[in-house]
Amino acid sequence: MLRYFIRRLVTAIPVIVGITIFTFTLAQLAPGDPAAAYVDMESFSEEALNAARERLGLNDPLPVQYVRWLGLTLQGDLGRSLITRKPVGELITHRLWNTISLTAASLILSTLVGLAVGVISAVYQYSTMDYLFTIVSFAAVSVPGFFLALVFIYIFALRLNWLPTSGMFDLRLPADATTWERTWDSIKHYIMPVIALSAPSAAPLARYARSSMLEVLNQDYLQTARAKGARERRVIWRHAFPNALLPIITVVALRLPFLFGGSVIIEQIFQWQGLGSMSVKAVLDSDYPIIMAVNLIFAVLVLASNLLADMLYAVADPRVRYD
Amino acid sequence: MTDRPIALEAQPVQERPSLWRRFARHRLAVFGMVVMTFIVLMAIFAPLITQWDPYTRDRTARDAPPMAGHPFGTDRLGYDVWSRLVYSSRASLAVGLIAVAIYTAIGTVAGGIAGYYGGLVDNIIMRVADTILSFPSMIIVLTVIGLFEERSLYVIMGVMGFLAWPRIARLVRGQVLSIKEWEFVTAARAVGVGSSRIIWVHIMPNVTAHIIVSATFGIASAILTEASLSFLGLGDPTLPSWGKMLNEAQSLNILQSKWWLWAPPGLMIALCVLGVNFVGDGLRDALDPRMRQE
Amino acid sequence: MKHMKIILALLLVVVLVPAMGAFAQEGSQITIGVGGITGRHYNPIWMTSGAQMASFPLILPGLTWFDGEVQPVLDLAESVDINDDATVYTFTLPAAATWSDGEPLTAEDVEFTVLLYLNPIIQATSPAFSKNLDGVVGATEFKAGETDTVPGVEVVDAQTIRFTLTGSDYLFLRKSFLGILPKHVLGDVPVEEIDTHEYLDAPTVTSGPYNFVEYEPDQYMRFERRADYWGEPAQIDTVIFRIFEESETLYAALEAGEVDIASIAAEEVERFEAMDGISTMSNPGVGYLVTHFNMGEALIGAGEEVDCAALKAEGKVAYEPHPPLDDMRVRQALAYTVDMPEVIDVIASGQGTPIYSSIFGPSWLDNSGLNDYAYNPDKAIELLGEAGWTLNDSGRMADAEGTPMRDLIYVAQPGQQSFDLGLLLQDYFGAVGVGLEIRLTTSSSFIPVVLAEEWDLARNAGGDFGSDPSVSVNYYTTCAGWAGALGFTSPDFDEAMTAGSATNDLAERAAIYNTASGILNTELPSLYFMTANVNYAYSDKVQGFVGANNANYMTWNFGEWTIAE
Repeated sequence: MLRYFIRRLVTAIPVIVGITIFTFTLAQLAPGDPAAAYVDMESFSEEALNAARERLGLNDPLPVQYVRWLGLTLQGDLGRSLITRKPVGELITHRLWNTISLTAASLILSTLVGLAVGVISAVYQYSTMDYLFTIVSFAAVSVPGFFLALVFIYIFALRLNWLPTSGMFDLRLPADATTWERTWDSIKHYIMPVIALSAPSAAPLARYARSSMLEVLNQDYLQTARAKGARERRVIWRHAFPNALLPIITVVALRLPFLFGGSVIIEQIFQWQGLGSMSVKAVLDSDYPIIMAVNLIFAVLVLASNLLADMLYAVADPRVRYD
Repeated sequence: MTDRPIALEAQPVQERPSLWRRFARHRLAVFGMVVMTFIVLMAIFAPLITQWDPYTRDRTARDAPPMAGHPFGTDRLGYDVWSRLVYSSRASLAVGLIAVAIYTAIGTVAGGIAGYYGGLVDNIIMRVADTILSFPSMIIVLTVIGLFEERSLYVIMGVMGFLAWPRIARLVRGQVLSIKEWEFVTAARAVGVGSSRIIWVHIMPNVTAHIIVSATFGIASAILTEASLSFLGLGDPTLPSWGKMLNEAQSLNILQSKWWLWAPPGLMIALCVLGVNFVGDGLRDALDPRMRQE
Repeated sequence: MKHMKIILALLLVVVLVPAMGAFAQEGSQITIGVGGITGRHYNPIWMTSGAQMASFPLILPGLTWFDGEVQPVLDLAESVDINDDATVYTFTLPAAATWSDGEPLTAEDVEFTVLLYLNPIIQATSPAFSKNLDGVVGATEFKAGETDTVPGVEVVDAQTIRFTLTGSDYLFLRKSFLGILPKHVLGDVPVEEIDTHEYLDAPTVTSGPYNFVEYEPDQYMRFERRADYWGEPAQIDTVIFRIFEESETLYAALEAGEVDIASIAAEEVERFEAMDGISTMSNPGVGYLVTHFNMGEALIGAGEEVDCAALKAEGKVAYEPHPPLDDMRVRQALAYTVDMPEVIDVIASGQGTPIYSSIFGPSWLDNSGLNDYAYNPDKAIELLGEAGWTLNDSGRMADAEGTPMRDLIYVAQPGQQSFDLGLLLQDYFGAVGVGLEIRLTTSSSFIPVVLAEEWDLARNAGGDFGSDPSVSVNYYTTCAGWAGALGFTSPDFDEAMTAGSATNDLAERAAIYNTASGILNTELPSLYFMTANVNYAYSDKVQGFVGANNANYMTWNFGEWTIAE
């Protein structure tokens, strides 16, 4: 098994290199001129634009810029934003945690809901509940995230007044608020973004859990267990569920890129200070260093989670071959 | 994982009996099929079922609620919402179909080659695929669309098409790898049938089912991606699409007081995506109940 | 089913969570909704965004600021003495003025701030408004790194600072609003390193009525009232500027009461007006919406090395014509196709006033003599006919040989409003047989596209311009940025602009500016649309708010704001 792990890690190396080249190339191909941000809208000129380019090191040959970028990146220096001139590393750590906590909460929620719904649908296959869940889960992936989010805000924040409209905490909290009050306040701000982000992911997980569970339920050993007189609930949760769960590990890991992608929209609309909303702004501003860093971080996170899932799967399922 | 009866598996897919009946048993799939048929008909016969040209403003009735002549009212500039809705079906379907066609073609070829030949070729193709797959698709699509000066629908279709192939490639490669070991393929090889013939005659028909199912789901997600890009201000600004209509209506103000601006496109996106997904689900059940969505 | 119960319990928690009431507040508090901060630093020297302009007067005021009508008023300075020909401005600071750390605020701080602002190293990071100080004796040389001193800035005594200008400028009070920084904090920091000094993003030492508490980028700024403030104290204890990237999110927060006041888009006015506990206000604006015509390309006769200024001195500025817009009649014809009330309706929900030249605004200016180019497609076709264009059989404008006119190209920065304007123009021009292609650029490629001259109409919307004519149109003076891109040059216009800022007699200035306005109105280097109203929505708790014609100055009378319980 150790050999499998090592092999798996080795195959990841070219992917990492690919990720850096890809990221760098993308940023270089970007149109627009970041230097334009340094030129006054009312009294601009070609000379002013050129001077700004020179100042920003945008006139060097590409391989030089790539090697310089890679070297610095390996040292943890991701450069400075072309717009605000602040260190990208600083800007990102500021937001990385926010995105991770949002996506992690959504991953957990969507997995729990997805599994529950999937198992129930499978156990009561072709029942009204099964159809209802099927329709709801398809509906959840059929509504654009931004629209769902807006409807949430309208209902829960404006009409019902239950939850805050956006942001990450209440700025009006008094300085002497207790930890409990602060935690509570923070939880309230998490609810809508987490639900809006997990809805489209819970649905496919539910579909997957349903078919996986169905497959297991039809297998011989369950029939044997039933024949031996085991109660149905015990059959389902003790025997079927753990076996159905196994392949879902990989599927859950595969949801991660979708959640990161979805965070772009959700963060934007809920004013969540994460990497997703940052990347939209950076793309619109042609802020190369930030675009590169965000893509790089997301790609590495996805790669790492895939590796982890594969290894977990290998540990959990003795049938996996390690060649 | 499971012990499949080889004799049954070895038959090419299209010869299986009663595909349609198995599909029809899935009631939601039939519903999806009906919805999709309506939408396709709507796209084809758009000029016949609309009174207004979607690009001509009605200057006498700007920002009007539903009224005679404008069943869904007009928008701020005076464009007829119904007409835009109908013509938008063309853009949305085109995005779905073309983007998926592009990546399915690339993915099938790349996955087929990787799976069949193996070795270095396989390694290179799959590492490139892994690289692209490591980027969350929304983020990478966003970044690449940002590269283009002009954000036409073609660019959007192209970018989605060229970035989504690795998933199909993986799927096809996996299938090819397993089919390659089946008896009739090894037999065909043994008697000296050429590679391309083996790929096209023996392997591909068996992979098609998986590709079709995956592509169907892909259409749904392409339509949603287009809508999200519109929301982020990176869609095609000139062509009416449901995503763009919904995006223009995404204000609490409109949500509250002008249902005719957001409900029709919202409903159309949901119906269309729902329809495509149901069809995909039905196809999956009909073609192979054990097949899974990746 | 047991698991269903757990799920239900979880759902219940979700429902109950919101039942927790709002937090008890101590002291009065206000939350102001603002847009994103774009400057390099949260510091007056890099002031580029509305959020900065609305918040700095509370912590780091300048010698002058602007009132609700965007006219200059004294802020930090107690008084100003202006000599007869407006070449020497002597500001007096209040003797009691102190920084929040107890140090006295003196003329030394003012001098230090101005020199820092003009420092070539700081200039390289592109502070947007430094051209305001170009009229100070020695400023341009110092900015260029040619000299070490700025003779035009002089500390007379601890409370007195004197600016000497190279020529008469009755508008210098408009240009002296730069927020003053503490010399005792930054004075010993080498200029090369100042860019990384923490004070630039956390101005903890303040001179205004508030203490700076914290600034979280993209989230908020928080200020607390200074207990030891030397002037008239403000009345609200805590001020939060909450930053929003998406306007919809801001509106939701405003509606939910999380934000007390913000400027809003025209189409939202009606909705907020109808809400309980929220009032709205519409002030006339000072911004403009125009599309510039590309009437000329490269300078003629200057060879490779184009020096516009030198040519201007010789009176030889001329541009390669850019047909068909080089013909004034074509430009005028296009203006006649525009249905202005409809434009204002669509673009600004009716909340705007048409403009007929970019000289508009102050009440003393009489614009009545201008042609309003009222919607008249027949007149447009007639004018195009005079210019040699007639409708062909397929309804397109064509020249005498029957060659159809090429489609004109409209370029604009991205955005719904940009695109809507393009669609309207496409419709209007189409009605007289002129085609229009809409090209939205990315926000960073707009200027490069304009410089590349591959356009015919370029949308431009701008800020403070109605507040004084000379500010509003200096980009039409020969060789200025837009004038060069447009290919516009008019010696008569240049002369009027110079004369206008050299006199303080309002009647005289009005006459001069009317002449200049007439030139723009006839020559039509741009298609003029409107100045949009500035709209606000605010909680009824907020009292004393009177608004400003530019939302950036909405806090100009903040000292009078109170929060009713």
